[in-house]
Amino acid sequence: MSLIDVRSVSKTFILHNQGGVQLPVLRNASFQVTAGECVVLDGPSGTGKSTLLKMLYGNYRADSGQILVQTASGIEDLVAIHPHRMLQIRRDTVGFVSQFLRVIPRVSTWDVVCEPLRRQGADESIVAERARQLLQRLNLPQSLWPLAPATFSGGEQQRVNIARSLMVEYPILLLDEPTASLDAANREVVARLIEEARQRGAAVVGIFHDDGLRSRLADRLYALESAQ
Amino acid sequence: MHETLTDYNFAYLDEQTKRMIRRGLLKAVAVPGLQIPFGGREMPLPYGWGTGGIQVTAAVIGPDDVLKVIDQGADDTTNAVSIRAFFAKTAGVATTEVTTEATLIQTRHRIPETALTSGQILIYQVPIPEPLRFIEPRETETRKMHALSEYGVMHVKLYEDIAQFGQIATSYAYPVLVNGRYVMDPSPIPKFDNPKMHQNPALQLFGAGREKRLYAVPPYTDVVSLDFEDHPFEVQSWDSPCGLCGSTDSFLDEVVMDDAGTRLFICSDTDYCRIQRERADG
Amino acid sequence: MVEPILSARGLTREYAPEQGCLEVDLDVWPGEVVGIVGESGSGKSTLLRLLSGQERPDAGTLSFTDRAGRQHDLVRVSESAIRQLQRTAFGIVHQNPRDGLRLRISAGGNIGERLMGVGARHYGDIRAQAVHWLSHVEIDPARIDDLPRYFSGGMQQRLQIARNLVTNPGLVFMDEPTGGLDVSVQARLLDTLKRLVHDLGISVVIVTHDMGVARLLADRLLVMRFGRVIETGLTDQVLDDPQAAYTQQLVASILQVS
Repeated sequence: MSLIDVRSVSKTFILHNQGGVQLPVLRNASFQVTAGECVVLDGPSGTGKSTLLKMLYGNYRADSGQILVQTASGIEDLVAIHPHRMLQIRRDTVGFVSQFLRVIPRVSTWDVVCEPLRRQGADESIVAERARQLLQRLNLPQSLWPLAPATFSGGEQQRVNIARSLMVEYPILLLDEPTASLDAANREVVARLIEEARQRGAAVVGIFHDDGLRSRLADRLYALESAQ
Repeated sequence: MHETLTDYNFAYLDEQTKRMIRRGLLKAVAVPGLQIPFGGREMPLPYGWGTGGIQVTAAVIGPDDVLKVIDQGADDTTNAVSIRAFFAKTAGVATTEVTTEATLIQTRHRIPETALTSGQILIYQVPIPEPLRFIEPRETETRKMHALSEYGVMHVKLYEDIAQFGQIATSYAYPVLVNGRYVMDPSPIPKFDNPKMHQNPALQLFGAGREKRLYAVPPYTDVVSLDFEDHPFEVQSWDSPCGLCGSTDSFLDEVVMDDAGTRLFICSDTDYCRIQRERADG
Repeated sequence: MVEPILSARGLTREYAPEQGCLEVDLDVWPGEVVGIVGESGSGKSTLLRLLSGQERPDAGTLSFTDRAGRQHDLVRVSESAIRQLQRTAFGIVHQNPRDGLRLRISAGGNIGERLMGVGARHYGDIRAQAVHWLSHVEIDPARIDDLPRYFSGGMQQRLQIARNLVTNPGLVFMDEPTGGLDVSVQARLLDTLKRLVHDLGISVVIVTHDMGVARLLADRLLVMRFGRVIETGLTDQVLDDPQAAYTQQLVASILQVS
């Protein structure tokens, strides 16, 4: 059974303020991902890998097609649902690991990481245990936990972001170059965390520029071509 | 006795004005505690000297009435003497200093100590009729607040007292709830007098001359002073009795007796004090 | 499925052609923050006043469900009922604290007013509540008896929020709550707001022209222009993939600081 079923999704950016220029980025993208499977989006830059991933998270809109996602209460089409419902799907079903951390400046690393699981109403002891585990595995020293991540290095911020994104065991996990600015040791930790997610049955869709990581994690590649 | 003037209408005001005021008073009696606007007239004394009270008295007084006027409880202060003389002259009515003999009592800042009886009318002079004015300067808004019983702010005032002074420090013009509906400013009477308003057999009328408002508490109406459960309403009390009559249950004024600063506490109600002394003398 | 607590259809209030608020549809669900963005004069403040019952619409429907599950028709409701809702089930946080606070009343009195308005008559309890809410919005409870006029702008805004939250409202309306504040003070206030929204499960409708504030606080956005809602969506979707020409222009004008 596929947790993700992308059917003929197309997307064109229209730049109204630059003379209405039309930039087609995706044409009829279609693929499925089943539980425990990792599909890597493949293709040269400009073929819409990142756009497609963002559409799976409701961050970008699709012009046409369907993005069917299996949620606890049934199958939903992300192209057509109300944004309010998308918020619930983000809370419970789809997780996204991006390269950038976006948080309020003054919030501590600890609270940034704990938030997604707290939002689900989880017991604080469970939240704390999980956060501790992830932060330790990602080699973020305990002395940093009470500090706001705004002043951290790029690699530290990204690890905070990964910890935050993996707090909830989402059935669907989207990864946008999660290891971009990490050293070898931390890359290994992230690779293991992704493998564990797959083993518990998560459907994973990712973009990896790191060839080693890609061949290690990918069950299949989905090749994208230029839409122009 | 004063010579009755014939060049003026009875009790100074023309009959049309009196009717207008009486209509306002009827409405005020019908809706206890509600402020009724009226077309206040210019009176031959300045605002703040009881123009509102005088107009109400003029509207309800008849030739058979017996009038008493008190200012801060005393019958012999300038204001009381002047107003009493005014009605003796313009209406030719009998006047008295004895509370029990009066049918009409116009008052500034006190309720007599002697219990009032059914048939008597107590007329208050009111400087600021709006109890919500301290917090809300807009008349349109205060009227709406009354209409909708939005009285939370009244307790805010009492809250501020306790927060600042450890107790409700408001000691006069202490707000009351009339007939379970309207919050009313009882005029600047000491809070000592507030309990006397409750279920009083006399009719209580209020006139504000500058603000041109009338309101009323009909006989036997509930009048409750606002308070908190853990800071209940309390009246003032004194350590010693009245220095003249020995009374322990009346409102006392502090009087400085000499240049050395000797102080004496005596009844503010001069008529009551006199009766107590006469009774003691046998 | 959870129902919206506030639901507007075709909400219209027109002062002059394209001035005001035209045919707005909007749902607010429990626990979410809805941002209304647009330039001044776009109708966003009018919409906020309509939604919060501070103004009546010329046309349209508007219903609100309070925490007890009672439904209120905010178009037909009596003025006394709407004022009652505003003092209990709604919070209204003004841009200028002077419009939302009583500056001559102590901080504690400001917070206690709503409680006394709904019948609280125990001084000790009211004071305990005031202390509780002061610390909730990160104001030193030792300042309970100080007048808000001696508070900084950020503290006044916090006090205004505490004053609104004391009756456990389900829905809070905010009009540019970080408007007059320094950037660092803004950040702290936003952080407090975000925490309160989550801890208390309140819904928020916030009007702002600051896209940064919208991004940090709002789950969903409505973009308004000439009185109409021209685009809606998840906050990050509207800001990262704006559809309408005007929204693209609005997003492009955000200063990139980072």
